[in-house]
Amino acid sequence: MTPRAWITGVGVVSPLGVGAQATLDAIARGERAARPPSVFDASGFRQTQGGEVREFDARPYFRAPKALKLTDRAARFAVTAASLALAAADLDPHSIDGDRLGVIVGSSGSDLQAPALGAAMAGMTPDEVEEIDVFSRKILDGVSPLWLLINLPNMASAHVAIQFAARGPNSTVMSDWAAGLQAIGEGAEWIRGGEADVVLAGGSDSGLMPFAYASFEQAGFFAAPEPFVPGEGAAVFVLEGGPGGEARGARPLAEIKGYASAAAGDDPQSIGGALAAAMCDAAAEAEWDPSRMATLIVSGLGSPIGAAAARALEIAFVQRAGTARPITFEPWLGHALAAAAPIDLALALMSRPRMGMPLLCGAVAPTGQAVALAVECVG
Amino acid sequence: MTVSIHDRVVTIVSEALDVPRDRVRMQASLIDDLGAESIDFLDILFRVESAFGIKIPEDEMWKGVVPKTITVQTIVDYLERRGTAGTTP
Repeated sequence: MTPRAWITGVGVVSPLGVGAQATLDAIARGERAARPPSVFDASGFRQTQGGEVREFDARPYFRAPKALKLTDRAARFAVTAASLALAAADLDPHSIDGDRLGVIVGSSGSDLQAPALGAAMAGMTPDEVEEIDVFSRKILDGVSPLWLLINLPNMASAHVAIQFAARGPNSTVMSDWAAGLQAIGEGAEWIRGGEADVVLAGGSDSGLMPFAYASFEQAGFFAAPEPFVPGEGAAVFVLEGGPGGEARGARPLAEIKGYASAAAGDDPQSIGGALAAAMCDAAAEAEWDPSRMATLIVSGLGSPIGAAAARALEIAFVQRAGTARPITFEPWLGHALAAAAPIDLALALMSRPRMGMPLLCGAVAPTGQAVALAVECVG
Repeated sequence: MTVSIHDRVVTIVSEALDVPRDRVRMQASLIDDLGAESIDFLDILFRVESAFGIKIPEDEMWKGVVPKTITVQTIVDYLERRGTAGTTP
């Protein structure tokens, strides 16, 4: 019998709180995260605000705090969110077979500590940059030997595995803004395929860095009538299935019943179509009738690609049923890149008494990659 | 005011290994007493170079020393042999 992929715990780190409930409570109070970042000076950009996770201390969540020097913000968010998710699931990771505990995190990458690299290369002439001996010496002299370990995109998954002694399947997904949701879908596949009994899956990311702001500005994201607000954070889910989860009497919040991905291919005008296709396919796998969908969670609606996404969803869902409504928590939090869709899903699950079910969750990236999950809440 | 070599090394080791300063005694083994791993030696080396404005060729600071016997004293002795002055914070 194919194991079912249940969500039994949720952990969130957001600009409005550490924890899903803390975040929802802040939203209920009308709080919004957008303000000038403290982690870098954004005053030179058209967008001077961001959704920053402020006054955040990850130390209590690390079994060996020395590891913090090997982490960037995304890795710290991921470990924290994973810890919260395990606590919510009432699951001690050391009580299960570590060989059957998997980790998969989606992230869009880092800024490679650009300021540190820039400082190391300061004063170099263009010719010196081209000379590998000179260039490498400048970098080796000026950049910490820990630089690579901090900036490798797989480090979030690595640190989560280290902290919780997870020796099962481990992976990192980097499909840009779709990465976090895709990680959850892939983690569910591990459960259903019998590769793991428990998977810590989610997204963790930060767009609060000069590199990211420069990219968004060049792409025109900050010139829109409602400027894009970069954010950061993480949402990690405990996925369980198979003998392990059932044996301990896990109480699921929801079941992942469908997972699909699509891409816009060589037609940038098809970004919305890719999202609609992924969402329809996920709904079909769950054996839901797309025309009867009531709640769509769609990340990226506030971005410049959101208009295309909304139009495609209008055709795929709203015009058929007339009731589907795309929602996102980004107006309160900012867009946390690869973590945005997982955060949206987590908050929707934790407020399900007001959200209704089932939940069809989609994410699309400016690169045209789209992912969708069909998540059925368990009453 | 110049900070002594000893005090600066204690700060470096305390920060690199995330241990309280009062545990960073002169005879404390970096590995056995303070939990240092191989990556930490690279980190400490870089921090010493940066703090004292020197280059340490090919791990000269502890070359030939049995790793488990490397102590805070090892680092201080090396810097004093180099004639390195204390640093200004």
